Amino acid sequence: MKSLFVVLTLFASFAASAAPQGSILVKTVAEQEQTVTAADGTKSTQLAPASRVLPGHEVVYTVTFENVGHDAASNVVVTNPVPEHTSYQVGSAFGPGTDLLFSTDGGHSFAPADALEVHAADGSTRAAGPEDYTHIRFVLKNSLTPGAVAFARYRTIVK
Amino acid sequence: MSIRKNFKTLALASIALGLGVAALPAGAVGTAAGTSVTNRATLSYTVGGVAQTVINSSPTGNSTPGAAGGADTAFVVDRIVNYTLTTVDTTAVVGTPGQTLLVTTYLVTNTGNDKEAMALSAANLVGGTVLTSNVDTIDMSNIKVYYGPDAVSAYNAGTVVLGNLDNLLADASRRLFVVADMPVTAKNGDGANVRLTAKAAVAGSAGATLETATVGADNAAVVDVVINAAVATTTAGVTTSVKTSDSGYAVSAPTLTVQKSEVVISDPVNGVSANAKAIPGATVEYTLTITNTGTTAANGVAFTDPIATTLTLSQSVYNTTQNVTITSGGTTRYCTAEAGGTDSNADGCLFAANSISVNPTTAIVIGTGAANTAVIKYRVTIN
Repeated sequence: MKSLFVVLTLFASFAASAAPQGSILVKTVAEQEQTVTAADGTKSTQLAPASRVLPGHEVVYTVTFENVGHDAASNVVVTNPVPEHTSYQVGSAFGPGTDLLFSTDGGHSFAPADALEVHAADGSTRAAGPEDYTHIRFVLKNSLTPGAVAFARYRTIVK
Repeated sequence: MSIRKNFKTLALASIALGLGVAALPAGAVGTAAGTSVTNRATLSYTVGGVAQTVINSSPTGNSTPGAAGGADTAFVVDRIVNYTLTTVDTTAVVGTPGQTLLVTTYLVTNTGNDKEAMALSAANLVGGTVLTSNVDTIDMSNIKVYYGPDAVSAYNAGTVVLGNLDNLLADASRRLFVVADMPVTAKNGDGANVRLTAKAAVAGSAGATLETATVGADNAAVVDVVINAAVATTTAGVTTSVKTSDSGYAVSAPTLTVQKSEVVISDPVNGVSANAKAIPGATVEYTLTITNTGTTAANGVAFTDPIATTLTLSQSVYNTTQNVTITSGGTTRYCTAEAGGTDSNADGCLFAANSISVNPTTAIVIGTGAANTAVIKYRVTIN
């Protein structure tokens, strides 16, 4: 039974590494800013894995995507839901070489922040605010060549 | 110049506001402790113009395409311990000497993000002033702490529970009651101040296990405990929580003064006369005037007055057959202090062991204000 499991595991990892696509390694980390005091007394801010998180605290999400395949990946789009129990920090989304789009309808449609509208139950519409965002989308302008790494980041406040 | 300066101030204020966003909101509960906040990014792409299967993110990196790949990036919201404790009393609770079960009232509110137990205790304060003007001069006895059924109900012996509060939900409030007895030796104007102490404890522990701040590295997967600075107290590196609230009791008591005067009514030579002298066979009338200068009526006033062996208590000198007059509250009544040492008519007055004792069955009440005196008279003859 145990040997069968090992074989299956090996097979699975082999299958993954032999994936025919130009594979991309996608990683999401949740971090908090920490102030670190160096030996000479200077203070700097670092990101450390989110651990002691309380309501009102800021959590920084960073998605890194690395082309681990052999072919260039084009039209790379990273979609990230604003996590439940958090609110998006206005203006915090940032990704080098990406265009930013937001969704207010659970990820069905995306638009730039200034083009988003929210339809109220009474039929009226208003401009969407950060509190309306359900998803954040990063659209990479250029293709991701083999070995290249890109990242996108945004900040949330735990409700 | 002035405008420039104002602008600068405004800019500083904005910065301060910006920093405040990350601070813990005061009084707000927020996401419940133990809530797992999860996130998974989705990446789509094309290779050679052909759309590829989407890839989900994982905390450590995932390249396996499809919904089955990837994993949530998650952390658990930790527990912030925070609460307020205030007295509901706006003035000291007034009691009379010897009065039992006097109640001061408090409100505890859980402003943290998890349910908490509350270890409760109360004690006398030593000196000091609470509730603006209640100066502590004496101590209460038999101090106990009860919790009520909700955040609004007044003390009711039928619904309150003695001991620690075991489960106060986030954002919930509960009334707490300190119940104590006023010493019988308390005097009018005395004050007794008390302090209620509440320490957060692990819910379900009945107050036995205090909430203690998690020390050292945090574990993202479990609920760690953080004590808000507003309630934190640290002893020997261990941080727990404590909050106190003070209230007090004011003593309202009768303050009685007794004045005794005597008038010779008659003597065997002059008969009933203003000139009667205190000679053997003379009749002397004693008048006791008891005045209440306190703030509360004195009920059941009784007195005993020794009569010298050279004197004999007169009988049947008032109201035909009686020998004591009692005037209080605007009315005069009588009783009979029997000479035999037995209160044979059960009116509360008698003469025994060379003392006259007056404690009438219809109690003497000495009020305050205009009707604050009682006058008692009896007569003796000089042997």
